[in-house]
Amino acid sequence: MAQAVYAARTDRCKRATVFLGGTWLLGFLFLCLKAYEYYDDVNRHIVPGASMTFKGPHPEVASMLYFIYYSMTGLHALHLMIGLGVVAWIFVQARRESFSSRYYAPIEAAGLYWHFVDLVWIFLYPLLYLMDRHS
Amino acid sequence: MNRHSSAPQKTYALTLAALLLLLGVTYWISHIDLGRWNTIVSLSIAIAKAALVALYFMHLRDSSGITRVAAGLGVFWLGILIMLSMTDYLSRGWLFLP
Repeated sequence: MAQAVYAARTDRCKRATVFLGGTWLLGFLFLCLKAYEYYDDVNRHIVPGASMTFKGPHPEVASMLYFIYYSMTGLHALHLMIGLGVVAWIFVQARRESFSSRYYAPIEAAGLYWHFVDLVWIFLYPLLYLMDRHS
Repeated sequence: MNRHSSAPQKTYALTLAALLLLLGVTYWISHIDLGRWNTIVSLSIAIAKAALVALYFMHLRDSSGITRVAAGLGVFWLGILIMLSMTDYLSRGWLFLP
C-alpha cells in the first residue's frame, strides 16, 4: 500500500495499480482465512449462544472469551471489508490515471486507513492468538 | 511531506523485512514460557511494530510537528480509555459488599 501511494505521488499510476491490486488480493486472502476460521469455529460449536457446547471446566468464562474474540476480530474484519472497497475504488481511479504528484490526497488517505486497520491487527494477533501458547 | 527525493523503496522494503522479522520473533517467543513476561514481551514487540508502521508506512517520520502531536494525542486518548476500563477491572476485588 505504501508503495502504491509513493508510486502515485511520483506520477506512476500504472505502477500504483499493480501495488493496489496486490494489497487488495492480500487483504482478500486474509478475509478468506478469517472466514474459514469462523466456519471451523461454528462446526466446533464454540460460538457463544444456544448452540455452544463447551466441554472445558469454565464454560461461562469461555463464552465471555469467545464473545470478546468475535467482537474484536469481527470489528476488524468489518473494517477490512470497508478497506477492500476503498482500495478497489482507488484502484479504478488509479487505472484512469487520476493521481499525480499534484493530486494524491485520496490514495494517501486510503493508505492511512489501510495501515490503521493493520495497526489494530498488530495488537490483536499477539493478544488473541499468542497468549498462553506455551502452557 | 515532500522530503521524498531519497528512494523510499529501500525504506519500505527494510520496514517490511523488520515487521516480518518481529512477527517471527513474537511467534517464536510465544512458545517459550516466560511467565507473566510473555504478555509484556509480546505487547512490546507489537508496540515496536506499530511504531514502524506509523513512522514509515504512514509517513509520520516525514510529517510536520502538528501531525505528530495529533497522532500522539490519539494514542494518549486511547490510553485514557484503557485506564478507565482498568480502574474497574483492577479495583473489582477491593470492596467486599454483602
